[in-house]
Amino acid sequence: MEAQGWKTLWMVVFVVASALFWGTVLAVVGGGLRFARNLLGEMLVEIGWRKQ
Amino acid sequence: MHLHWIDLVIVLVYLGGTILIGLLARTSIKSVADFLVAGRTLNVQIGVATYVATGLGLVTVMYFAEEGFKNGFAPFLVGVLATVVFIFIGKTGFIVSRLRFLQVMTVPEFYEIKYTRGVRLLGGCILALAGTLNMGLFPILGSRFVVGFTGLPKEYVNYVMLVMVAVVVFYTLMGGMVSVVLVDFVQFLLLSMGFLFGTYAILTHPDLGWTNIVNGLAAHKGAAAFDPIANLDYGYIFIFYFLSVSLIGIVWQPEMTHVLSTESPKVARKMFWIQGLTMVGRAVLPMFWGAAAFVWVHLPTYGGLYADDGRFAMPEMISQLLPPVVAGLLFAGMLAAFMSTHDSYLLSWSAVIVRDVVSPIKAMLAGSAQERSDEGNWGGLTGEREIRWVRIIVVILAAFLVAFGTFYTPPETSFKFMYVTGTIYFAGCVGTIGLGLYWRKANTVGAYCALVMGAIAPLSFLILAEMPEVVPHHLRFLVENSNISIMSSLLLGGLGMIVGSLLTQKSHAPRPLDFAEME
Repeated sequence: MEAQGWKTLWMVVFVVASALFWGTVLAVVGGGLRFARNLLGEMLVEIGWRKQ
Repeated sequence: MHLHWIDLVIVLVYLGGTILIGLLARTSIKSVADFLVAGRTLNVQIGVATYVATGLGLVTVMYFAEEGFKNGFAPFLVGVLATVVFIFIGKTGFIVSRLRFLQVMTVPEFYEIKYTRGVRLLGGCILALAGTLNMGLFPILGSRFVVGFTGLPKEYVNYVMLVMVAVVVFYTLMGGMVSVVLVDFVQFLLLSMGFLFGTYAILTHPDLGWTNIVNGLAAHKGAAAFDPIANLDYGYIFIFYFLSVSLIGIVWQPEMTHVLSTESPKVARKMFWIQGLTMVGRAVLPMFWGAAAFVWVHLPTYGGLYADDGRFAMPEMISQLLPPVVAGLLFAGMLAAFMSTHDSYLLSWSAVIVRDVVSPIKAMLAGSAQERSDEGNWGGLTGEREIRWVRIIVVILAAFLVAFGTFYTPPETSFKFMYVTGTIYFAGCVGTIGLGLYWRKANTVGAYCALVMGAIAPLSFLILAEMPEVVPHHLRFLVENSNISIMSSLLLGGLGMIVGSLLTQKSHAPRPLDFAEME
């Protein structure tokens, strides 16, 4: 492939990579926050800072 | 110092929060399974976040940036290949489903199920050696980022490394995998935001931007900055090796720990292909930062300290492009990335050393039966003693890492060093795990052959690269570029299992595995 072809290919890869990366971040943030909140809640109950 | 006082406050708040999480997480550790695989409770979302966070460490960012600084956009191919392989694995469940179904906590534990305790001991030793060497450069790479980003003098690099490792050891000892999961998630959020702001700052900077970076790379490096086939660091052999090693590389204990911590094999598969979507970004974005740093240090206006040093230039550039607060958030995210990789790796390698080396030796000496107890142990140490041993090994490993980072310089780039050391273990896994899970004739003798034959080539490369003068001149190419030795080791690992097993089918009958009830 010519140099120009590689440059165009890497620009497309860069755009797709960025979209996939931040798209996935947005998709899992909600579920991850719920899990972390529940886990922290259980720990606070365990050390007596919060009631069951 | 490049940092504003607000940035330092953000970093201190983050570090304080991390230590608090470690203390809190200690309350939820009730068994060895809680400590090592978070009680196998992870759902898809937290599983993806924590897996990505482990894979996207500060170390990864630094060595990918170093590749971008040295080779421009050509290494982007690495991200594309890894994504294709990860999505394939996630969709088919190749290896991950079966290992999760067998409920092992470390990968060599599979060796005791499928082969013998002796194979587990040898596999555990090789994995521990490969893993410890592989991790050897992590602290120094992280420390270089901090020094480059803050503008501290280069002489401080070892002291910074010592402090960072001490913080990681503290909260890993406290909360095990539970604190690892929580800190990983915070890092995932901070670093994702940091990537966004950093990339935006590069793309909108008047001296950088996509076009200026492309033109700068073309002017200084020519076609090799874009064409991975023409670039001597890559080429067809490396591409074939990378595809193969990515397929078997999922058995790398720190990443596999997250798979083994999921609720079920089905969740493990789903988590795997979703996180695979992020792989291309995890590689390409830091490589882009590294390429941008190369152009940055060649600008006529550049007045920094690191014109020829890609290891420090990227953090220096980023710290100067970002405004206060945003720089602090990115810095905290990078520190989090440093810690989240170290905690996972320290915990994983310590678990392997204890469960797959110390515990089997004790079981052998005691002559106990080769079967798994309800607690998940195999007749060696009790669960409580395993946790105590893991904590001791974490401290010993941390001390080794500080010493290794201070005194060792790799023969090639940091990225290549990671793959050469990882291959000491991966190569044997082609036979022991790849064929062991899917080929009925795989037996114990084949497993020993695969482990030994797979480890020889990469170990020889690492040793001979330190003293190339003893290598005959016509063979010097073997120690000047690692591509041939790592590719041949993968073939030897698979070949060892096939030949060893076929020759000894009668004397060493293979143990069958039953996956009929797997989801």
